[in-house]
Amino acid sequence: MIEVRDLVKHYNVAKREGGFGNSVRAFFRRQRETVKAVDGIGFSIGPGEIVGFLGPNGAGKTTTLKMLAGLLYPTSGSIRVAGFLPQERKRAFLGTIAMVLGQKQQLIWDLPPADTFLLNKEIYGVSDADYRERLAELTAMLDLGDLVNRQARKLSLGERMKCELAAALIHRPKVLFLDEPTIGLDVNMQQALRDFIAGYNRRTGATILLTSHYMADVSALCKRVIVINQGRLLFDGDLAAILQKMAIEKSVKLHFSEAVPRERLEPYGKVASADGLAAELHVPRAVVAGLAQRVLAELPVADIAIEDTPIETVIGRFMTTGAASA
Amino acid sequence: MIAHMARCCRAHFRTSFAIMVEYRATVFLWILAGVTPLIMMFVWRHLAAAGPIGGRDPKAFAFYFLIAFLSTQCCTVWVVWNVDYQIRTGTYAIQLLRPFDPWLGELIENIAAYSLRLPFNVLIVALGLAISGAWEMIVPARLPAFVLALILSWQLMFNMNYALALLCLWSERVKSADSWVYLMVFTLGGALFPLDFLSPAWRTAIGWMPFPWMVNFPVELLAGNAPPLPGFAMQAVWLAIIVACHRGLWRLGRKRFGAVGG
Repeated sequence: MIEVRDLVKHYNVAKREGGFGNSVRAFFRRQRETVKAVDGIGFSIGPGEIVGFLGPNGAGKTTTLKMLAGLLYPTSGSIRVAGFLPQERKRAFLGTIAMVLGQKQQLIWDLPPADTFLLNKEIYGVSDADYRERLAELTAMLDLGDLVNRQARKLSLGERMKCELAAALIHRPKVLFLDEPTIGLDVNMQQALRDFIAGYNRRTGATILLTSHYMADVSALCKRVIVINQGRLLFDGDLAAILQKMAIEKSVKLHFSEAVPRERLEPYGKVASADGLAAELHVPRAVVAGLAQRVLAELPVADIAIEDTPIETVIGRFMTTGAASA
Repeated sequence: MIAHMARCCRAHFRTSFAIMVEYRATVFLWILAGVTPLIMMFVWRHLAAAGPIGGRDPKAFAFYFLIAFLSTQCCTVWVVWNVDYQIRTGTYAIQLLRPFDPWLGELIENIAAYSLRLPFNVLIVALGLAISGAWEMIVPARLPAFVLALILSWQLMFNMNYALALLCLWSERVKSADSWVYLMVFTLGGALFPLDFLSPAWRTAIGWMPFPWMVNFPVELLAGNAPPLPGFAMQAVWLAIIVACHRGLWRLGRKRFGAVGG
């Protein structure tokens, strides 16, 4: 469904150091530099797969996704998505794909989402019967209820993201690019969206390429991950393999009712931060349950939260220690 | 295909009109911001009270500037602001993801705004013509041609703005160029003074530009002072050039679109 070979995207960007003098110099003579956003990556994704596309900020994930969606012209290399060359932006291609950008919205800000849905219905040429059926299905799956009739600007971030997904799926795309779809959402909403994405994939067999900084998104949805950094492919394979290897710790966040010195915390695990009333420990997954019990019994804990190591940390660790051996 | 496009345009118009209704106060502010020709009307009428200037008495000045006001209102577009913003912030990407030409979307948005604004413009002009007695200077047989001239004036300005907006793909921030275009439309278009006040050499030079055909031509057409065909021909030629420019700019600039940000 998606074939990428030797894909390269270089940007030519203006460069200037801060300060008044540099501003004046830049007025007369702008310096430019070439940024290698994507530098020769290649992969292939089959129909119906959900693949996590991972990497730290600035790795080239979104740039790659935008090239796959036909928004950006590759500098070189080749892409085929559902048999189309994305950069040609043919109507049939645009009707086959959808892209949800977690930080940009297609909902019309001043109108209820229902108006955006209707606009998309006409633009994508969805019949009345299909529209009714799909909207009912999306409303049920995303629990939209009456949200679609409220002004988009009056919706919460999570409600808006649900409506964004519905707007992007009205034409039932075969290929879905999701760029940080759960960014900024609370835990319940993240879970709801993950369930929806998995359900949509099961029902329609859509191919989904997902970027996220949340480990839970990736682990819940993707069997396979592609990891890139500085525009280069580092890993393409099973998520389980990379996690087992790298996400060997959990993060234990503690809040105390009275100040606890750092030295008192050191026997419990690696102290990532400690400022008296709050601390973060990194402890091996295998011992986290027992450690939590000990901490609660032995320290003046007011609140405790146990979290997965952030994907950034896992990927960062992978890049420093695992890339060579992967 | 045509039926599909018609349905898309209708749906786009409905949503654009609904947005305009949400921002109805802004629509009226746009009208107020464009009253320069009406101010010039008062200035020139006052000057002509002592005697005709360039063969125009106060009534003729009222006619000229009221119709010039209507023409400039038809040339008030904001597509460069929209597209410049969308390209710089990357939200243009959302438009490009849909199988619908963003140019057509902007055009329909403009039509939606006019459908809300134009009735008030016409009311202001009708009242002005009635109060000043300049009503009688209209040549009724020229009304259909006048409407066509206004539509072409709007198209000239709209497409010129769109072409300017696409320059954003090369140079960030092109909104200042839009101010320059408005300055040209107001001065060389004839919204500050009737163009027949200029020397023949100036008139000939300006006549090769698009600006006089956007304001002065519709006014003189309605008054029966300008032959329709040469004016329409100039409007059509300039429109073809400008549309070809923005289509070419898009083809060239498309590869430069950075779809900025996440």
